[in-house]
Amino acid sequence: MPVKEFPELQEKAISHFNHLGFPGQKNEEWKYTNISPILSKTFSDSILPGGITKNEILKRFPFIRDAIFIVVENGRWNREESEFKDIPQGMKIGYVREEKNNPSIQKHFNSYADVQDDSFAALNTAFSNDSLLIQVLPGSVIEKPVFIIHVASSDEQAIVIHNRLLLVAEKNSSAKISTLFVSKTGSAETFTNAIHEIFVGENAKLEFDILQNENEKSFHICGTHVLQSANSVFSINTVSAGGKIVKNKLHIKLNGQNGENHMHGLYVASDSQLIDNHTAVYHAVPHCNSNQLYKGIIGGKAHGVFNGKIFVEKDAQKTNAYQSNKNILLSNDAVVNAKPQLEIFADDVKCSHGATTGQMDEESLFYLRSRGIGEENAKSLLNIAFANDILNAISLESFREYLSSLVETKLKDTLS
Amino acid sequence: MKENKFKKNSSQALTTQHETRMLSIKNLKASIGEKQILNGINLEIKAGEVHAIMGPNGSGKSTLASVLSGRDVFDVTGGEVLFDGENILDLSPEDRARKGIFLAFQYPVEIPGVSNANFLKTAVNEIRKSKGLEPLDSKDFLVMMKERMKLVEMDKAMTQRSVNEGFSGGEKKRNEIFQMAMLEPKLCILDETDSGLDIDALRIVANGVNALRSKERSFVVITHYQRLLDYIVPDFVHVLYNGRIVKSGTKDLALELEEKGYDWIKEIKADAVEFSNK
Ligand SMILES: Nc1ncnc2c1ncn2[C@@H]1O[C@H](COP(=O)(O)OP(=O)(O)OP(=O)(O)O)[C@@H](O)[C@H]1O
Ligand SMILES: [Mg+2]
Repeated sequence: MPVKEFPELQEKAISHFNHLGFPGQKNEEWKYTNISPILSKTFSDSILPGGITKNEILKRFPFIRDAIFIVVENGRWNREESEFKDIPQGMKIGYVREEKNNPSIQKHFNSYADVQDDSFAALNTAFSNDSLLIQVLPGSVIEKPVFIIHVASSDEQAIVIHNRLLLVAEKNSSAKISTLFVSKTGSAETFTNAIHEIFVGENAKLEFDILQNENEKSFHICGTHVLQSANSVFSINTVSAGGKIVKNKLHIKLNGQNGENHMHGLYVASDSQLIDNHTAVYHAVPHCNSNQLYKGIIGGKAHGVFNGKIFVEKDAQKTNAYQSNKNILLSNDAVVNAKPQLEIFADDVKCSHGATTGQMDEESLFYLRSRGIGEENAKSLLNIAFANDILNAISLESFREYLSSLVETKLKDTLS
Repeated sequence: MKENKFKKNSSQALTTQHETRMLSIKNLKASIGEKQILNGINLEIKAGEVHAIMGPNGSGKSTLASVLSGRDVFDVTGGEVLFDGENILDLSPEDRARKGIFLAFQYPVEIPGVSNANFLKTAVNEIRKSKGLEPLDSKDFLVMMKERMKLVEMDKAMTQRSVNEGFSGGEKKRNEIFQMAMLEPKLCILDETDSGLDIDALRIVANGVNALRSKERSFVVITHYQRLLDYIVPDFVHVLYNGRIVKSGTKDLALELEEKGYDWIKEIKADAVEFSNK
């Protein structure tokens, strides 16, 4: 086992994990997501580099050509194959461990993830090795997009990968960061266990996009923990397409007045995939707005789960909190469990939530077909339209187009 | 029963002889769930003709239009529909459209997220493909779109928007005729295209329809108002009541209905049914 990055934190995390154990389905957070398929496997954590090259990466993801990109292979930063020479002034990319003597970084690290309560957060803390730091310095407006490309790759033996990111957008800064999780072509089973900790400083503006598209044998658990300061705007777009089991936890705390956030999620599941999104927004102070829209397209025997909580604390007057979850079922065997939850302790708030699950609209389908458009094509047009509602929230056009065609291809496969 | 069979055969022979017969509906019956809505419709339409269908609310006009274009919520329980001599009742809606059947909907649906232009380009090219033609490229398509938009004086901004989303009632109807102009069908079924149009729009849309009239193209115009028929002058007028065509005549029948309403039709229906079955 490699030398620990943060021996003290990591020892503590191990003891948390020993105390918590793995969650069962009696645990409300894991009610619909049975992780026994993961636990029944033996995963090795001896991480061998998969040998991916910059050229391969650029070929697969042409839209990152002019961006900064960090390649993380099996949890380890592959510096040779990354492109970060032209990091703009005002942005720092490095390891968290290099900032051990920097109190302004250390105050964020391991402060937002729920290490004491979540087995996977505890495991991640205990075993992650290359905790990545992206810091946007105060007042810096970064136009250049930044991508983190996580490649999971295993030749034979199933492996477990712990990815960790600390993203700090300081006061008055602005940036767009996207993180992709993919498998190396032909990779055997992998289990990715990722944690993102994000701090959005006062008056900062941050967009964070996640694509989860590992192969059909992979397991993926991802925790994103965000703290927002006053007057900050945070947008997160989560697109989940590939993976046998994908489970996301998104926690956002609005901790300063006039904070605003936009949470968009799109999950497209087919075959026997399970994609589970749990979100929680905490309004701790007055005058904040939160908006969430999650949409799912579920085919085959796949299973979608959405559980969204909104907490409005007693002092958080003048809160506006909206949440909506919409699902389309493409087959009779597809299942969705949707559960919106509100806990409101303030009296002067505007909150709304709703969840719908249904078939594709029969009238719209007939309308398109009556114009000569074939059934498959018509369904695909309607599904893409449904999905674009989410994808349109992604501001990088080339990335958005990539995602749109990825979703389209997946839907075509699912429908045919 | 025996007689019926004989009739069928002879009419098929007729169809091949007189190629001008485009649509031939014979004793068509359709229901939704337990409820029978069409109770034996007979109608013959030749190429180039305009037929108006009138009739009280709920008599089955839109149902007939839906059944002709292949909406599968309705079960066809009897009869047949020949289009250019071919029975189309087993064809999918898209195949009927590709053969040249077009329905301008009474209530066009809104489809958020699908742009009008993208939708129409897909439709035009699928229809072209079915005819063995190359797809239109973006430039040719835009030229065609511009030209046809003029026909119904449609605003360019509307083509950029999602299909019918947020369109006013009149704009939706105009968009239907615009689509019809783009798809160049053989048989155009207009289901109350005039309802919801202001006086100027009615004239514009009617002129657009008239511009599309030709020897090869036929129209079924469903309407409640004689006014539309002043613009689009029909060759025949039929009255649909209780899922049957109970009276047929020339354009004068529409004037008579305007004046007298439907009560007298409802009374004579028994005789008329017999008449139309002959
Ligand atoms: N989807 C449906 N489910 C149940 N009944 C239906 C359905 N569609 C039509 N009907 C019934 O069939 C009958 C005929 O309806 P249709 O829409 O064809 O009438 P219409 O002649 O077009 O009337 P209008 O002049 O009001 O447009 C009505 O009684 C209607 O309620
Ligand atoms: Mg009607």
